Amino acid sequence: MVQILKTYRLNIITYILLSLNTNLINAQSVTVEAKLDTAEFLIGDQVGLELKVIQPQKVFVGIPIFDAQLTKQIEVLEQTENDTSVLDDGDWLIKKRLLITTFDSGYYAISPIPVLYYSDTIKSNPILFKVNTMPVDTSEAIKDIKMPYGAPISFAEVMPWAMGGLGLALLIVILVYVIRKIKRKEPIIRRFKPREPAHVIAYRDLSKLKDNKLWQHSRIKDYYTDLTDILRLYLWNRYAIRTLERTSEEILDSMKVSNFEDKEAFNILKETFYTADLVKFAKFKPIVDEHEKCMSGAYNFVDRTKLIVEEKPENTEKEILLENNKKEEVQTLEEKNN
Amino acid sequence: MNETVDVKELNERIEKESSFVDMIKMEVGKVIIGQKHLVDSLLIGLLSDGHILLEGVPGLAKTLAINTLSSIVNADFSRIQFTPDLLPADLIGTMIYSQKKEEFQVKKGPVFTNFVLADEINRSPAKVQSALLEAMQERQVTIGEKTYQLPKPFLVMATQNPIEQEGTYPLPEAQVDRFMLKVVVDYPKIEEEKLIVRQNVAKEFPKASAILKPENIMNARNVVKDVYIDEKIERYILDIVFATRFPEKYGLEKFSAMINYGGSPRASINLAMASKAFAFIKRRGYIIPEDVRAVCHDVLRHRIGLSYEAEAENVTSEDIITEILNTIEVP
Repeated sequence: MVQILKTYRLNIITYILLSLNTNLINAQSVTVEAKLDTAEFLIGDQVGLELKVIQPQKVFVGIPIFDAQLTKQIEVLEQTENDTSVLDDGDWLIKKRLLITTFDSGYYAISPIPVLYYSDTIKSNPILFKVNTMPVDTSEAIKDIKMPYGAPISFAEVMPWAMGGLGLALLIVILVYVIRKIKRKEPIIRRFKPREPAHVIAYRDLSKLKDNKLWQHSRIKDYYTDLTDILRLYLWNRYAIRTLERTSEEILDSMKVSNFEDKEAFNILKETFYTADLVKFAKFKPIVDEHEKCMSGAYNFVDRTKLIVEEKPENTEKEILLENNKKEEVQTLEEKNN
Repeated sequence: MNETVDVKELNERIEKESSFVDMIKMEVGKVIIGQKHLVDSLLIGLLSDGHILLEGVPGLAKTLAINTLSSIVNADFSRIQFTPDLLPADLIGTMIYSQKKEEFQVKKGPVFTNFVLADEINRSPAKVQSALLEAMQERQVTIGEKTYQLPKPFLVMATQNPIEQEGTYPLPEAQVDRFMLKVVVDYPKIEEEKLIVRQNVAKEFPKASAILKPENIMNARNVVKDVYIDEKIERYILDIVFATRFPEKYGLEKFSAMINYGGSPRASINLAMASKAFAFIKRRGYIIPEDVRAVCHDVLRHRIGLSYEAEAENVTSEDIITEILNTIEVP
């Protein structure tokens, strides 16, 4: 009984009611017909099987739901829902289509399909059909079985592998880097020092030049060469003017072009470059005061042109203490009020 | 200020001796409008005993410039139009049999003059070019069995037309190297050309006056040789020339495959000489890096052999020189 309920999608109450109403059944007839689209087809072909039920109106007929295997060799690939239409005489026509196939050749019989009609079962006609194999051309030579064709590899298939490979490579690089750093006893993440401002470098170099006492040791040419080199480097760092590959005149021209506004600083630089060129290229030996003047001129130029970035001053200890005292005072007042 | 005596004296001497430069420029300016670079180059060649190869389209006052210079210096001038059928004898001279005297007599060619304009030098075959270039180098000509000195000063200004190249005989690299400067003459500016037109349609064309004698030039040449060149400048010159030979040593690897050959030692000598002459024109007794840079293109542009790669990349010798100057540190 359970099998019947399952196959015909009935609940237990409907089944009992149907069984009790057997007496109400009149002579109205129910016909069931099963028909295959073709009686002969090739192995593996898919063929339609149509089940037609003609029944009086408002009479219950249970049409089965088929499993994946109709018989041991016949497979059901698809099955439609029941399609009901009204015929001219008022009867109902219920249609159901199955798509079947088989993978073995030979003669087959589909036994009558049972349809539940109240407590009775009405069966369809049996179906016979033939399944043929592929005709073999014996005149042709026997060929090897062809290997299955390979489908082209798509990007989506390759993508996960590529990403995985890249990830692995990255991991190896990081590992090598970390191992090297550990071996060299270096920090794994290096913190870059903030670049020194141009004037800081210039002041340091000028002070170093002063300490070297070049002109005091009669190395006047070296003194002026170093002095102009410091100024050139400063101009490069400060204004990004290419100075190392340019002559004094070209440097001054570049400054004019870039609208250098401080005329006094410009004149200091011009004078220093001019004196230095004379020393470097014309055997000119300035007096001692001139050396000092050029050095102080260089300092003066850097002073006047240095870039000052104004930072918000941090609170001093005193200010912090004062602030904390104020907070404490407020707290004590609040406590008193409470 | 305590200057070293020699440079101070030299500076004063050059101030005095170079005063004629301004006068020459003034006289040339009467006739030639614009073309300052051409005039400066002529003066450099004249003062440093070098020859000049000019490249420019016709009609840019090349002939007029050298003609004017010769008239200012009160020197002889001859213009030789180089043609495919020109013979060396047409240039240097030959021996002619005199029936009257029943002997061979020397007929000197047009090269026996102070200023020679070799017009379109690349139109004549190699043998004629060689004859002139030999005279340029040796400053003497041998006709028959006798050798004749060329007059002093002797300045050759050869021209090449950069456009019509068909049927020409390009100067071999070894010959080109003998020119101290290769000057590229460009069109005048619009304002300059307006004045040129006015000058040429006027009733009388201005003439430059003779203000110097050839001897003055010879004296000036001696002074130019005295212009002080510091070791730092020498090093700078050598760095520039060596960068044309071994660009990779100066951080210019990109030019390694583009240069077939760089400047010869003659390039270094000429760069130093031209810098001295330029400093003299600027009335200075010593060379500064500006002088070297001012003459560098003219001295080196014909001394760098470019490879096929450079031509394919459209890189010229001008580009290479500019990049070298922008790379090498100035002393």
